[in-house]
Amino acid sequence: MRLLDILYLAFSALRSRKLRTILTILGMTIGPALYVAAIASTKGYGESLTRSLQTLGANVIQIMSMPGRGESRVELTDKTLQRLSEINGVAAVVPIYSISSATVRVKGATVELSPMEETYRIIAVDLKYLDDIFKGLQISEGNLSGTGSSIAVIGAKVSKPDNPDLPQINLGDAITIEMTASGGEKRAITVRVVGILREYGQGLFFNPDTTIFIPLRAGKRLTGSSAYQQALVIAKDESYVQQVQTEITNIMGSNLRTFSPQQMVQTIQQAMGQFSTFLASISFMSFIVAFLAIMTTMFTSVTERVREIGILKAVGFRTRHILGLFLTEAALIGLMGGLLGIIAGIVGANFFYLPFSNIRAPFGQPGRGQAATFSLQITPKITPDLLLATLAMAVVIGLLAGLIPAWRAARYRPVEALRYE
Amino acid sequence: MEQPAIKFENVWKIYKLGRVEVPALRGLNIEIKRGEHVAIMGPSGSGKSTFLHLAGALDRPTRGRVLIEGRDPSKMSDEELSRLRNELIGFVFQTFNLIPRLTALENVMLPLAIKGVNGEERMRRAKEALEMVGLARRMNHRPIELSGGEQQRVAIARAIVTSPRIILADEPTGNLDSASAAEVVDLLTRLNRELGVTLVVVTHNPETAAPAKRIVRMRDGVVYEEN
Ligand SMILES: Nc1ncnc2c1ncn2[C@@H]1O[C@H](COP(=O)(O)OP(=O)(O)O)[C@@H](O)[C@H]1O
Ligand SMILES: [Mg+2]
Repeated sequence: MRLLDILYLAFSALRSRKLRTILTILGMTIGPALYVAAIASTKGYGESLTRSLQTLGANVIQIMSMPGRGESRVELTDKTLQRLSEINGVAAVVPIYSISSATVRVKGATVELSPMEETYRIIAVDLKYLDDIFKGLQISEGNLSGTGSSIAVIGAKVSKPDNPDLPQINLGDAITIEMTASGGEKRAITVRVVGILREYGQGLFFNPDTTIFIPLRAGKRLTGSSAYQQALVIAKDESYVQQVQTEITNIMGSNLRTFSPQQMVQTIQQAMGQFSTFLASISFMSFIVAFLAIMTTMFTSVTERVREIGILKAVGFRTRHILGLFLTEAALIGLMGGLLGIIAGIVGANFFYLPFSNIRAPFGQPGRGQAATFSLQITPKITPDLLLATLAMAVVIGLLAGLIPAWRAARYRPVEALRYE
Repeated sequence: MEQPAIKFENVWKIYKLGRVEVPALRGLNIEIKRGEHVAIMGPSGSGKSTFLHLAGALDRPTRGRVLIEGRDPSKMSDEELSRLRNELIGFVFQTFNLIPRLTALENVMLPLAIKGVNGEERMRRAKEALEMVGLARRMNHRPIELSGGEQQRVAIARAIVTSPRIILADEPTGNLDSASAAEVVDLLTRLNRELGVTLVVVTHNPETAAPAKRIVRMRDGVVYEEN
């Protein structure tokens, strides 16, 4: 007896009971589909997060002082930052003024900045750190190493705005920024554009494309304040981040909020992991249900085919041939269900992480009310290993479910089977 | 002396239905020579089918000795019985017992599959057998597309495809109209004459029994009359 003969007999038996076979196969698809989708999307998501973390700044910690806490409020002054820079593992502390309401005059146009409107935002920061904050940021014109405090580096969208009401700004143009400080007095500075950045896209902390960067000293002059809105702590490398973050909270207390891309990625990964575990457990339950469905189908099939078993034994089929025939039928159901299931899983994997594909920074962006949101580019990680393992699992479920029915079929005595009505 | 095809010595077969014992054969003695054509007649329940099942190694006797071509099934494992059936015996049943989802050709090839005969030869031999029963042109039909007489001829082709020594037919004309019955009887008789295969036909029908050289009548599990 050849495998091919058994396969043919098994296949023709399944085909002759089409509806029941199809329904049982469909029952078998759910488990593998969920399993493939869960594992492939989680793995793909994890890898994509890890990749994004590098561009988000794996070694950066953002700190902000929480507003409106009276006495306990921690001001981000030079003194505070000095203490932070002494923490073990800290490479640099970069203070930032972010200016959310101001009037900008450039090339005869007057632009009001407000947290609500999509115009410019102004960030005062030591320009030599731009590279640490935005990994891979490039200059398209001019340079970053301008001297003096009356200079500005502008984002691509500041230079060539989408908004037709805003002027084009070129290298060498003068920008006057005027703001009302907390005391009510008006302050103004004029800076000259020395560098224009390449288009970068959304970063986790802010979007450089619509930002006017001015030196820190210019920011101090403009705001007249010795307290910064926020600072970025740059760790020596990403392995220090957690430790540094804990240490900052220890020293400064909870009124200083810290946030790192690394921590955020871990949190998201945890949530995704839980989601995936949840799916995997549903998938295992589906496997159990499919197991029972195949077993029922096979028992029914055996009962309907007692006479066939008698005929086969009369022409010389041995016990193991009958066993093999029914086991093959069960395994084929498992295999076909598994195949359909992994196809469904491959398709489904593209949708499973959708609830997790937009990630948001927990704080508002400096100078704006809203949190930064950006989409991850995710490809589900579908490996041959995963597909084969899932398929094998489906076949094994089929085999196990077919075991008892096949055994019952094989044990019929030929004479009894032939007399069966 | 030449070995008989089938020999029963004081054979008992007792079926157990729960606590009730049903003796289907009660000390049956019979000897069928090679190449013989025997008809077994007798009332319903007299043990004819039971005799045929034991003679075809589908079952073992409760007591006594059965020899099929000199071999004793009670000393054989189920596996060996299967092989013996496959190699020596061809069964023909009242209800044809074809597998409905397989074509005539596939039904006929079944016994060859077990032997591991390769595809080409299997096809050739199955076609030959179907030609012998006059059904070569209908080989790709399923049983449901064939008349009763044709189905029984397919069953006969399946019985002879392994070139068995013995053909055992249990009421082969019981479900057929008289024209088809006559064809089937002619066919079986011809196989016995031309191929020399031992033929045992259980029947109620005197016309089915008529061509047999020997008619054995059974009653209550024993041979009651012979002529
Ligand atoms: N597998 C079986 N289990 C129980 N009783 C059986 C079985 N096979 C046959 N019998 C009984 O044995 C007797 C002989 O049956 P059978 O050989 O089929 O007779 P026949 O073929 O002459 O009609 C009957 O009483 C029948 O009911
Ligand atoms: Mg009978």
